[in-house]
Amino acid sequence: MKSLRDRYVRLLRWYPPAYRAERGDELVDMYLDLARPGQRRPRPSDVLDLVRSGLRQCLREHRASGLADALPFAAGLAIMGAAIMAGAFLRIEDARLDPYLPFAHPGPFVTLGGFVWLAWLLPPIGLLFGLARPAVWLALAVTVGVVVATPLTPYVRPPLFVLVPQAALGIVALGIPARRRLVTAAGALAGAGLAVLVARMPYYYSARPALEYTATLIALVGAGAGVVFLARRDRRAFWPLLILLTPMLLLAQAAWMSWPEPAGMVTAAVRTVLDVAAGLAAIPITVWLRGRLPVEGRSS
Amino acid sequence: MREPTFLILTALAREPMHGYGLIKDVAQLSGGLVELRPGTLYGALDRLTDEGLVTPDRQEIVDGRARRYYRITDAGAGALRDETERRRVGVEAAAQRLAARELGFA
Repeated sequence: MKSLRDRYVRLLRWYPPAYRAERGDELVDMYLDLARPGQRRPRPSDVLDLVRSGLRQCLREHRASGLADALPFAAGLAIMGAAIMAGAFLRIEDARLDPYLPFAHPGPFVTLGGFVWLAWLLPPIGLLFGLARPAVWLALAVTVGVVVATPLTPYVRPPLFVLVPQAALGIVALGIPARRRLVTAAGALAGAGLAVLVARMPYYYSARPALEYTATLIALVGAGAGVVFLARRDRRAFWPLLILLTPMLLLAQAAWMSWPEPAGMVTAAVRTVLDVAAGLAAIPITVWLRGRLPVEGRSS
Repeated sequence: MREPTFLILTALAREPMHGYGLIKDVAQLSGGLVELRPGTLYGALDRLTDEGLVTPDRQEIVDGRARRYYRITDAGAGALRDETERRRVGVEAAAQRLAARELGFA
Protein backbone atom coordinates (compact mmCIF):
# COMPACT_ATOMS: atom_id res chain seq x y z
CA MET A 1 0.00 0.00 0.00
CA LYS A 2 1.27 3.46 -0.85
CA SER A 3 2.38 5.67 2.02
CA LEU A 4 1.44 9.33 2.38
CA ARG A 5 5.00 10.22 1.34
CA ASP A 6 4.67 8.16 -1.85
CA ARG A 7 1.45 9.94 -2.73
CA TYR A 8 3.01 13.37 -2.26
CA VAL A 9 6.10 12.32 -4.23
CA ARG A 10 3.82 11.20 -7.05
CA LEU A 11 2.29 14.68 -7.22
CA LEU A 12 5.74 16.17 -7.75
CA ARG A 13 5.58 15.02 -11.37
CA TRP A 14 3.95 18.36 -12.16
CA TYR A 15 7.31 20.02 -11.43
CA PRO A 16 10.22 20.15 -13.90
CA PRO A 17 12.61 17.19 -13.35
CA ALA A 18 15.56 19.36 -12.31
CA TYR A 19 13.52 21.23 -9.70
CA ARG A 20 12.02 17.97 -8.49
CA ALA A 21 15.48 16.49 -8.01
CA GLU A 22 16.77 19.54 -6.15
CA ARG A 23 13.79 20.49 -3.98
CA GLY A 24 11.40 17.55 -4.11
CA ASP A 25 12.38 15.93 -0.79
CA GLU A 26 12.27 19.27 0.98
CA LEU A 27 8.79 20.02 -0.36
CA VAL A 28 7.41 16.59 0.56
CA ASP A 29 8.96 16.79 4.04
CA MET A 30 7.12 20.05 4.59
CA TYR A 31 3.77 18.59 3.54
CA LEU A 32 4.40 15.68 5.90
CA ASP A 33 5.24 18.10 8.73
CA LEU A 34 1.93 19.87 8.11
CA ALA A 35 -0.13 16.66 7.73
CA ARG A 36 -2.83 15.90 10.25
CA PRO A 37 -2.39 12.89 12.55
CA GLY A 38 -3.67 9.81 10.75
CA GLN A 39 -3.81 11.51 7.35
CA ARG A 40 -3.43 8.91 4.60
CA ARG A 41 -3.92 10.92 1.42
CA PRO A 42 -2.90 14.41 0.26
CA ARG A 43 -5.61 16.94 0.98
CA PRO A 44 -7.41 18.32 -2.11
CA SER A 45 -5.98 21.76 -1.33
CA ASP A 46 -2.48 20.23 -1.33
CA VAL A 47 -3.10 18.55 -4.69
CA LEU A 48 -4.22 21.88 -6.15
CA ASP A 49 -1.27 23.64 -4.54
CA LEU A 50 1.25 21.18 -6.00
CA VAL A 51 -0.29 21.14 -9.48
CA ARG A 52 -0.53 24.92 -9.67
CA SER A 53 2.92 25.50 -8.22
CA GLY A 54 4.46 22.81 -10.43
CA LEU A 55 3.03 24.37 -13.57
CA ARG A 56 4.21 27.80 -12.44
CA GLN A 57 7.67 26.34 -11.92
CA CYS A 58 7.62 24.93 -15.46
CA LEU A 59 6.82 28.41 -16.75
CA ARG A 60 9.59 29.88 -14.60
CA GLU A 61 12.09 27.45 -16.11
CA HIS A 62 11.14 28.82 -19.53
CA ARG A 63 11.37 32.40 -18.27
CA ALA A 64 7.63 32.71 -18.83
CA SER A 65 6.40 33.37 -15.28
CA GLY A 66 4.68 36.46 -16.63
CA LEU A 67 2.10 34.21 -18.31
CA ALA A 68 0.63 33.05 -15.00
CA ASP A 69 0.95 36.53 -13.49
CA ALA A 70 -0.89 38.02 -16.49
CA LEU A 71 -3.94 35.80 -16.27
CA PRO A 72 -5.89 37.94 -13.72
CA PHE A 73 -5.33 41.08 -15.82
CA ALA A 74 -6.35 39.28 -19.01
CA ALA A 75 -9.41 37.90 -17.23
CA GLY A 76 -10.43 41.38 -16.09
CA LEU A 77 -10.05 42.67 -19.65
CA ALA A 78 -12.11 39.74 -20.93
CA ILE A 79 -14.90 40.57 -18.46
CA MET A 80 -14.85 44.17 -19.69
CA GLY A 81 -15.02 43.06 -23.33
CA ALA A 82 -17.83 40.62 -22.63
CA ALA A 83 -19.79 43.29 -20.73
CA ILE A 84 -19.45 45.76 -23.63
CA MET A 85 -20.70 43.13 -26.08
CA ALA A 86 -23.59 42.33 -23.73
CA GLY A 87 -24.54 46.00 -23.44
CA ALA A 88 -24.45 46.51 -27.20
CA PHE A 89 -26.47 43.40 -27.99
CA LEU A 90 -29.08 44.05 -25.31
CA ARG A 91 -30.23 46.91 -27.52
CA ILE A 92 -30.87 44.48 -30.36
CA GLU A 93 -32.84 42.28 -27.99
CA ASP A 94 -35.28 45.00 -26.91
CA ALA A 95 -38.57 43.73 -28.37
CA ARG A 96 -40.29 47.07 -27.70
CA LEU A 97 -38.29 48.60 -30.54
CA ASP A 98 -40.15 46.45 -33.08
CA PRO A 99 -43.78 45.77 -32.11
CA TYR A 100 -44.40 43.85 -35.37
CA LEU A 101 -41.87 41.05 -34.95
CA PRO A 102 -42.76 38.31 -37.45
CA PHE A 103 -41.85 35.48 -35.07
CA ALA A 104 -42.48 34.40 -31.48
CA HIS A 105 -40.26 36.15 -28.99
CA PRO A 106 -39.54 35.34 -25.33
CA GLY A 107 -41.06 38.06 -23.17
CA PRO A 108 -39.29 41.40 -23.49
CA PHE A 109 -36.58 40.01 -25.75
CA VAL A 110 -36.41 39.44 -29.48
CA THR A 111 -34.51 36.16 -29.07
CA LEU A 112 -33.25 33.99 -26.22
CA GLY A 113 -30.06 36.02 -26.50
CA GLY A 114 -31.59 38.58 -24.14
CA PHE A 115 -31.04 36.14 -21.28
CA VAL A 116 -27.47 35.50 -22.45
CA TRP A 117 -26.56 39.19 -22.45
CA LEU A 118 -28.21 39.79 -19.09
CA ALA A 119 -26.13 36.92 -17.69
CA TRP A 120 -22.95 38.55 -19.04
CA LEU A 121 -23.71 41.69 -17.03
CA LEU A 122 -23.39 39.65 -13.83
CA PRO A 123 -19.57 39.16 -13.82
CA PRO A 124 -18.86 42.92 -13.51
CA ILE A 125 -21.27 43.02 -10.57
CA GLY A 126 -19.60 39.91 -9.16
CA LEU A 127 -16.28 41.79 -9.26
CA LEU A 128 -17.67 44.15 -6.63
CA PHE A 129 -18.06 41.29 -4.18
CA GLY A 130 -15.21 38.95 -5.14
CA LEU A 131 -17.70 36.62 -6.84
CA ALA A 132 -16.82 37.23 -10.46
CA ARG A 133 -15.73 33.66 -11.22
CA PRO A 134 -19.05 32.02 -10.22
CA ALA A 135 -20.82 34.73 -12.22
CA VAL A 136 -18.68 33.90 -15.28
CA TRP A 137 -19.47 30.20 -14.87
CA LEU A 138 -23.17 31.09 -14.73
CA ALA A 139 -22.96 33.29 -17.84
CA LEU A 140 -21.09 30.56 -19.73
CA ALA A 141 -23.73 28.02 -18.67
CA VAL A 142 -26.54 30.31 -19.88
CA THR A 143 -24.72 30.86 -23.20
CA VAL A 144 -24.19 27.16 -23.84
CA GLY A 145 -27.65 26.34 -22.48
CA VAL A 146 -29.34 28.73 -24.90
CA VAL A 147 -27.49 27.20 -27.87
CA VAL A 148 -28.44 23.69 -26.80
CA ALA A 149 -32.03 24.43 -25.77
CA THR A 150 -33.14 26.73 -28.59
CA PRO A 151 -34.25 23.87 -30.94
CA LEU A 152 -36.58 22.71 -28.16
CA THR A 153 -38.33 26.08 -28.01
CA PRO A 154 -40.36 28.16 -30.49
CA TYR A 155 -37.80 30.94 -30.19
CA VAL A 156 -34.60 31.81 -32.00
CA ARG A 157 -31.15 32.60 -30.61
CA PRO A 158 -28.36 34.98 -31.60
CA PRO A 159 -26.04 33.68 -34.33
CA LEU A 160 -22.99 31.69 -33.31
CA PHE A 161 -20.62 34.31 -34.68
CA VAL A 162 -21.45 36.51 -31.70
CA LEU A 163 -21.88 33.71 -29.14
CA VAL A 164 -18.58 31.92 -29.89
CA PRO A 165 -16.32 34.97 -29.31
CA GLN A 166 -18.37 35.78 -26.20
CA ALA A 167 -17.82 32.27 -24.85
CA ALA A 168 -14.09 32.55 -25.66
CA LEU A 169 -13.93 35.79 -23.66
CA GLY A 170 -15.75 33.96 -20.87
CA ILE A 171 -13.22 31.12 -20.78
CA VAL A 172 -10.39 33.65 -20.35
CA ALA A 173 -12.50 35.45 -17.73
CA LEU A 174 -12.49 32.31 -15.57
CA GLY A 175 -8.94 33.29 -14.61
CA ILE A 176 -10.26 36.12 -12.45
CA PRO A 177 -9.15 35.83 -8.83
CA ALA A 178 -11.69 35.53 -6.01
CA ARG A 179 -11.21 39.02 -4.65
CA ARG A 180 -12.87 42.38 -5.19
CA ARG A 181 -11.64 44.38 -8.18
CA LEU A 182 -13.43 47.69 -8.03
CA VAL A 183 -11.59 49.46 -10.87
CA THR A 184 -12.21 46.59 -13.30
CA ALA A 185 -15.85 46.43 -12.19
CA ALA A 186 -16.28 50.16 -12.75
CA GLY A 187 -14.66 49.91 -16.20
CA ALA A 188 -16.81 46.97 -17.24
CA LEU A 189 -20.07 48.49 -15.98
CA ALA A 190 -19.24 51.86 -17.58
CA GLY A 191 -18.39 50.12 -20.87
CA ALA A 192 -21.62 48.12 -20.81
CA GLY A 193 -23.67 51.21 -19.97
CA LEU A 194 -22.04 53.21 -22.74
CA ALA A 195 -22.65 50.39 -25.21
CA VAL A 196 -26.36 50.29 -24.29
CA LEU A 197 -26.57 54.05 -24.88
CA VAL A 198 -24.65 54.32 -28.15
CA ALA A 199 -25.36 50.97 -29.87
CA ARG A 200 -27.74 51.47 -32.78
CA MET A 201 -27.66 48.09 -34.52
CA PRO A 202 -31.06 46.82 -35.64
CA TYR A 203 -30.10 43.15 -35.82
CA TYR A 204 -27.16 40.79 -35.33
CA TYR A 205 -26.09 40.75 -38.97
CA SER A 206 -25.33 44.46 -38.66
CA ALA A 207 -23.30 43.90 -35.49
CA ARG A 208 -19.88 44.42 -37.03
CA PRO A 209 -19.24 47.72 -35.21
CA ALA A 210 -19.73 46.12 -31.78
CA LEU A 211 -17.39 43.27 -32.66
CA GLU A 212 -14.79 45.58 -34.18
CA TYR A 213 -14.88 48.07 -31.32
CA THR A 214 -14.61 45.33 -28.70
CA ALA A 215 -11.65 43.66 -30.44
CA THR A 216 -9.95 47.01 -30.96
CA LEU A 217 -10.52 48.09 -27.36
CA ILE A 218 -9.08 44.84 -25.99
CA ALA A 219 -6.08 45.12 -28.31
CA LEU A 220 -5.43 48.76 -27.41
CA VAL A 221 -5.80 48.26 -23.65
CA GLY A 222 -3.69 45.10 -23.79
CA ALA A 223 -0.98 46.82 -25.85
CA GLY A 224 -1.03 49.93 -23.66
CA ALA A 225 -0.79 47.83 -20.51
CA GLY A 226 2.05 45.85 -22.12
CA VAL A 227 4.05 49.04 -22.68
CA VAL A 228 3.46 50.14 -19.07
CA PHE A 229 4.33 46.67 -17.73
CA LEU A 230 7.54 46.62 -19.75
CA ALA A 231 8.51 50.10 -18.56
CA ARG A 232 7.96 48.99 -14.96
CA ARG A 233 9.85 45.72 -15.54
CA ASP A 234 6.60 43.94 -14.70
CA ARG A 235 6.81 40.32 -15.86
CA ARG A 236 3.28 40.43 -17.27
CA ALA A 237 4.55 42.49 -20.22
CA PHE A 238 2.51 41.57 -23.33
CA TRP A 239 1.34 38.19 -22.00
CA PRO A 240 -2.28 39.43 -21.53
CA LEU A 241 -2.49 40.07 -25.27
CA LEU A 242 -1.29 36.57 -26.00
CA ILE A 243 -3.83 35.08 -23.57
CA LEU A 244 -6.59 37.08 -25.28
CA LEU A 245 -5.43 36.21 -28.79
CA THR A 246 -8.11 33.54 -29.38
CA PRO A 247 -11.10 35.76 -28.49
CA MET A 248 -9.60 38.62 -30.47
CA LEU A 249 -9.15 36.43 -33.55
CA LEU A 250 -12.73 35.20 -33.23
CA LEU A 251 -14.05 38.76 -32.83
CA ALA A 252 -12.04 39.90 -35.84
CA GLN A 253 -13.21 36.98 -37.93
CA ALA A 254 -16.85 37.57 -36.98
CA ALA A 255 -16.50 41.26 -37.87
CA TRP A 256 -14.76 40.75 -41.18
CA MET A 257 -16.54 37.74 -42.58
CA SER A 258 -19.81 38.12 -44.41
CA TRP A 259 -22.32 36.03 -42.54
CA PRO A 260 -24.21 33.94 -43.26
CA GLU A 261 -23.82 32.59 -46.73
CA PRO A 262 -24.99 29.08 -47.57
CA ALA A 263 -21.59 28.20 -49.00
CA GLY A 264 -19.82 30.18 -46.29
CA MET A 265 -20.92 28.25 -43.25
CA VAL A 266 -18.36 25.50 -43.75
CA THR A 267 -15.70 28.11 -44.37
CA ALA A 268 -16.77 29.91 -41.22
CA ALA A 269 -16.55 26.72 -39.18
CA VAL A 270 -13.10 25.90 -40.57
CA ARG A 271 -11.86 29.42 -39.92
CA THR A 272 -13.23 29.30 -36.38
CA VAL A 273 -11.33 26.07 -35.72
CA LEU A 274 -8.19 27.60 -37.24
CA ASP A 275 -8.57 30.75 -35.12
CA VAL A 276 -8.94 28.71 -31.95
CA ALA A 277 -6.03 26.44 -32.88
CA ALA A 278 -3.78 29.38 -33.77
CA GLY A 279 -4.73 31.34 -30.64
CA LEU A 280 -4.18 28.38 -28.34
CA ALA A 281 -0.98 27.17 -30.03
CA ALA A 282 0.57 30.63 -29.80
CA ILE A 283 0.91 30.29 -26.01
CA PRO A 284 2.94 27.04 -25.76
CA ILE A 285 4.98 28.02 -28.82
CA THR A 286 5.89 31.35 -27.24
CA VAL A 287 6.76 29.66 -23.94
CA TRP A 288 8.91 27.12 -25.78
CA LEU A 289 10.67 29.81 -27.80
CA ARG A 290 11.40 31.83 -24.66
CA GLY A 291 12.92 28.76 -23.08
CA ARG A 292 15.35 28.51 -26.01
CA LEU A 293 16.45 32.15 -25.88
CA PRO A 294 19.88 32.86 -24.43
CA VAL A 295 19.67 33.88 -20.76
CA GLU A 296 20.94 37.41 -21.46
CA GLY A 297 18.00 38.11 -23.76
CA ARG A 298 15.29 36.99 -21.36
CA SER A 299 13.68 39.25 -18.82
CA SER A 300 10.25 37.92 -17.85
CA MET B 1 2.69 44.38 -2.59
CA ARG B 2 0.42 41.39 -2.05
CA GLU B 3 -0.36 40.32 1.52
CA PRO B 4 1.55 36.99 1.43
CA THR B 5 4.66 38.74 0.07
CA PHE B 6 4.42 41.38 2.79
CA LEU B 7 4.08 38.71 5.48
CA ILE B 8 6.98 36.60 4.13
CA LEU B 9 9.30 39.62 4.06
CA THR B 10 8.11 40.63 7.53
CA ALA B 11 8.87 37.15 8.86
CA LEU B 12 12.34 37.19 7.31
CA ALA B 13 13.10 40.70 8.60
CA ARG B 14 13.85 39.24 12.04
CA GLU B 15 16.13 36.37 11.07
CA PRO B 16 16.76 33.84 8.30
CA MET B 17 14.10 31.13 8.32
CA HIS B 18 13.36 27.81 6.62
CA GLY B 19 10.12 27.03 4.81
CA TYR B 20 8.32 25.28 7.65
CA GLY B 21 9.22 28.07 10.08
CA LEU B 22 8.01 30.65 7.56
CA ILE B 23 4.63 28.96 7.20
CA LYS B 24 4.16 28.97 10.96
CA ASP B 25 5.38 32.56 11.37
CA VAL B 26 3.22 33.90 8.53
CA ALA B 27 0.16 32.21 10.05
CA GLN B 28 0.96 33.78 13.42
CA LEU B 29 1.65 37.24 11.95
CA SER B 30 -1.67 37.20 10.10
CA GLY B 31 -3.66 35.93 13.06
CA GLY B 32 -4.32 32.69 11.19
CA LEU B 33 -5.84 34.45 8.17
CA VAL B 34 -3.03 33.54 5.74
CA GLU B 35 -2.14 29.84 5.61
CA LEU B 36 0.55 29.33 3.00
CA ARG B 37 0.90 25.85 1.53
CA PRO B 38 4.42 24.61 0.75
CA GLY B 39 4.07 24.78 -3.05
CA THR B 40 2.79 28.34 -2.91
CA LEU B 41 5.46 29.35 -0.40
CA TYR B 42 8.31 27.93 -2.48
CA GLY B 43 6.87 29.60 -5.60
CA ALA B 44 6.78 32.92 -3.75
CA LEU B 45 10.34 32.43 -2.44
CA ASP B 46 11.57 31.61 -5.95
CA ARG B 47 9.87 34.74 -7.31
CA LEU B 48 11.30 36.91 -4.52
CA THR B 49 14.72 35.37 -5.17
CA ASP B 50 14.40 36.22 -8.88
CA GLU B 51 13.52 39.80 -7.90
CA GLY B 52 16.49 40.00 -5.52
CA LEU B 53 14.35 40.57 -2.43
CA VAL B 54 15.36 37.36 -0.63
CA THR B 55 18.27 34.96 -1.07
CA PRO B 56 19.03 31.40 0.05
CA ASP B 57 21.10 31.53 3.25
CA ARG B 58 22.19 28.02 4.23
CA GLN B 59 20.98 24.45 4.39
CA GLU B 60 20.75 22.27 7.49
CA ILE B 61 19.66 18.73 8.17
CA VAL B 62 17.22 18.61 11.10
CA ASP B 63 15.82 15.22 12.20
CA GLY B 64 17.00 13.80 8.90
CA ARG B 65 15.12 16.42 6.89
CA ALA B 66 16.68 19.08 4.70
CA ARG B 67 15.94 22.64 5.78
CA ARG B 68 16.89 25.43 3.39
CA TYR B 69 17.07 28.83 5.06
CA TYR B 70 16.25 32.12 3.37
CA ARG B 71 17.18 35.64 4.37
CA ILE B 72 15.95 39.04 3.31
CA THR B 73 18.32 41.16 1.17
CA ASP B 74 18.95 44.89 1.45
CA ALA B 75 16.62 45.40 -1.53
CA GLY B 76 13.99 43.27 0.21
CA ALA B 77 14.34 45.29 3.42
CA GLY B 78 13.93 48.47 1.36
CA ALA B 79 10.80 47.15 -0.33
CA LEU B 80 9.38 46.11 3.04
CA ARG B 81 10.20 49.54 4.51
CA ASP B 82 8.41 51.30 1.61
CA GLU B 83 5.37 49.04 1.91
CA THR B 84 5.26 49.48 5.71
CA GLU B 85 5.33 53.26 5.29
CA ARG B 86 2.57 53.12 2.70
CA ARG B 87 0.42 51.01 5.00
CA ARG B 88 1.22 53.21 8.02
CA VAL B 89 -0.01 56.32 6.19
CA GLY B 90 -3.26 54.54 5.32
CA VAL B 91 -3.76 53.22 8.86
CA GLU B 92 -3.09 56.64 10.41
CA ALA B 93 -5.57 58.32 8.05
CA ALA B 94 -8.20 55.71 8.88
CA ALA B 95 -7.56 56.09 12.62
CA GLN B 96 -7.86 59.88 12.44
CA ARG B 97 -11.12 59.77 10.50
CA LEU B 98 -12.62 57.17 12.82
CA ALA B 99 -11.62 59.28 15.83
CA ALA B 100 -13.19 62.37 14.22
CA ARG B 101 -16.34 60.39 13.47
CA GLU B 102 -16.62 59.21 17.04
CA LEU B 103 -16.23 62.79 18.27
CA GLY B 104 -19.02 63.89 15.92
CA PHE B 105 -16.87 66.00 13.56
CA ALA B 106 -17.68 63.97 10.48
